Amino acid sequence: MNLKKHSARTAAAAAIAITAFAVAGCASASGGTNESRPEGEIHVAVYGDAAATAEEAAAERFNETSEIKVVVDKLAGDGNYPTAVRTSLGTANAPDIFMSWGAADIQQLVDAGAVMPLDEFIDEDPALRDAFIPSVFDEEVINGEAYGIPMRGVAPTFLFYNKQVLADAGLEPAQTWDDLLSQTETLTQAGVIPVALAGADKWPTQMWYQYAFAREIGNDEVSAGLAGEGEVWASEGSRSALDRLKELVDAGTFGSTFDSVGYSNQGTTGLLSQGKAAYELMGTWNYATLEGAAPDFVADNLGWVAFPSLEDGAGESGEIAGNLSNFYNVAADTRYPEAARDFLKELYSDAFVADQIALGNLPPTLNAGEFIAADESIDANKKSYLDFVFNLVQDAPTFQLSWDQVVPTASKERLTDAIADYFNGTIDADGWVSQMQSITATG
Amino acid sequence: MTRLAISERTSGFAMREAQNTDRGGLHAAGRPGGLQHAGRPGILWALPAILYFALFALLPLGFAFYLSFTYYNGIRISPPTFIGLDNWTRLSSDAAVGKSVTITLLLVVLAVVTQVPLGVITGVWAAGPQRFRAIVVALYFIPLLMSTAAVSVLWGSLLDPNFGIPDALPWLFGDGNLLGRQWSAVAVIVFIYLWGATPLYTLIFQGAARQIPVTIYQAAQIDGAGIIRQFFSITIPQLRNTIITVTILIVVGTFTAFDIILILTRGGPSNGTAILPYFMYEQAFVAFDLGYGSAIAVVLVVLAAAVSLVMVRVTGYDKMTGSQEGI
Repeated sequence: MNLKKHSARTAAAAAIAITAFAVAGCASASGGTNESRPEGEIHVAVYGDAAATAEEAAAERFNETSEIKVVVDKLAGDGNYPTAVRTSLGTANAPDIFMSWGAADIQQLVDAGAVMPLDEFIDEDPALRDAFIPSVFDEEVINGEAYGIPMRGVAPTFLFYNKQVLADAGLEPAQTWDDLLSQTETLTQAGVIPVALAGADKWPTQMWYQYAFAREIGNDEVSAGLAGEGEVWASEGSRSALDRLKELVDAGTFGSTFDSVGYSNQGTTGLLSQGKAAYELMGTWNYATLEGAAPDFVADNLGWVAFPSLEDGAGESGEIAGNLSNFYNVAADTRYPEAARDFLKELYSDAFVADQIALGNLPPTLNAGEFIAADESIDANKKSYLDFVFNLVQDAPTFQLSWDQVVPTASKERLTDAIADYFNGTIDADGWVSQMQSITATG
Repeated sequence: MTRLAISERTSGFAMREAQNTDRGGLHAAGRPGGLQHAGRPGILWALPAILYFALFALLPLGFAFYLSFTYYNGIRISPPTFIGLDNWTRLSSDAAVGKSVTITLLLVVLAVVTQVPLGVITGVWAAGPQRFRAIVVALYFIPLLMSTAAVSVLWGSLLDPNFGIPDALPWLFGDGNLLGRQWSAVAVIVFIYLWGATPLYTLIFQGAARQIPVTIYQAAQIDGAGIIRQFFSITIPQLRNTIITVTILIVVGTFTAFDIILILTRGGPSNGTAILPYFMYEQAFVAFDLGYGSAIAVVLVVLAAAVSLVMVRVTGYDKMTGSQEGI
């Protein structure tokens, strides 16, 4: 059977069919009544990866006391999640509660009136706002109205390193940008790739830009640039950040094959855990990924350190970047808004926070630090790791959300393309600057 | 081959005989006569297939065409808004579309020139009587049993520059940055298609090659033709129709290929492998611009249909006759 042809065609046909039926169904669904929705239950679309267990447990606890039952619809934890949610909204099969990644992710849904503003819920129960780290909570406040409640781990990015590799080369974890550059030579001579970079996936490459720019011009400038101030990208600081990145690439900091290395197929996980690379810049979730692939390495040789500082940069050394959190949103036409509100309260409950910590996630709640300190079920290594992440976030003067989550959905792919293209030399600094100006101008 | 006039007449006579018998039967049943109606099912018989095709191919295609004149972001409660020719003017000035079409056509050509010869050679070999042939052939067919998604993930790991085959064979692959350069990424995709899809064509060619009467080869041997001569003068001409069929299958299949590219390269490096189906996916389901994605889908359909039509015309597929007439 020629599966390649068949499945690709089926996928294409299915894709078009979904669209077609979505359009065809408009007439019947446009009444907007929620009577057609299931009676006595609210549906939660859970992003079905390893972290889903905490949400499933929350649903179980909720159902013990509630008359309206939460039904967990576990969707595939991959790139199709937003498509599945998006195309079902407005139908009887739509989730009442679903997950999003930030303001840009839900902007079109807000414009369409598909998500419910949560301000009334918050008035009734202020803890829905006050229990969470303000900078995280504010991400999904759009035009003064809150649309999402933070629910998953706060995920800044920082450097992971292999203690053994650094020790063998006689090095200490890099503290400054210059350290990184000078260690590149030592590590390359030792036959090690200095930094593992999953360039094939593009988004890991973006993390390097986020820090180069945070250090050179500061996150406030970056934020302005992403909001449409084109001159930020053409500024001297921006040029300097680009030069620094190019300097690392040319020096071989990422080896020569980073564009063929993936994160999703554990390419960089192997490099770091097997001692073929010294560092990896990655998000908080990398701990769980590494632990799954190489538990012994995590226990004995995994180190972590904040991203190096840059002496003559305009950014402060503690500025960080990464993913703030994920958020739960409520569909505007939910049949049981009170039940949805009550389920959202689970997200700051002690049990939910404890479950997140057990997963190795840093909960986006203000009490996360106390919980980590008091938790006796997690091992010392994980505890010190979570402590580190908590302090990193607490001490950060700014926390820049990943660029591809800031620009409008329509521009996301162009952004990551520009980022990968400058790294592999397809476009030069001028090309990159004009790309960024054009991408952010629409935002 | 020179046709033997006598045997052609004989077979022609046999055919007329058969028609006569058939016609007689139909007349007896009181139905209209003629070969056109001889025991052939009517439109009613084709209805299930036509309905299926209409529902799952024509209807979505019609919607895609409609959507290509709208802006639609996939949210049902904000339905598509009509924007006239905006998507189409954007399409005509989008450099990425031209690039994508070029890569698509390149990939189609490369797929045909690699898969057809390999399919013919292995198919003809597999049709032979060699010892252990069945075992080797069985092993060779394994890729057919695996889903393309699994195959892509598997090759993704096998091609990892630090842990895969390139790491083990540096003299062949250099630094192993196979997916990081356009030409090598295209080569990798062509190779995986070759590996994964050719066994099917081998199977088809094996069946076709077995249909070639052994007497022709015996006659050629008596005339002193060697193995190579036999291959080019008997086997290839006898497989002509099969080659055309397989080529069309490959062309259509490669035009709509998507999964390997999604999983292995994500269109990279720098959109160097972003063929039209992937480009369509990116616009419709990553950027959520379903209107523009639909416009690209329509281009894809038109392009694939045009290429198929040209092939059918040029090769005479539509007037195809039996290759063994007169034998």
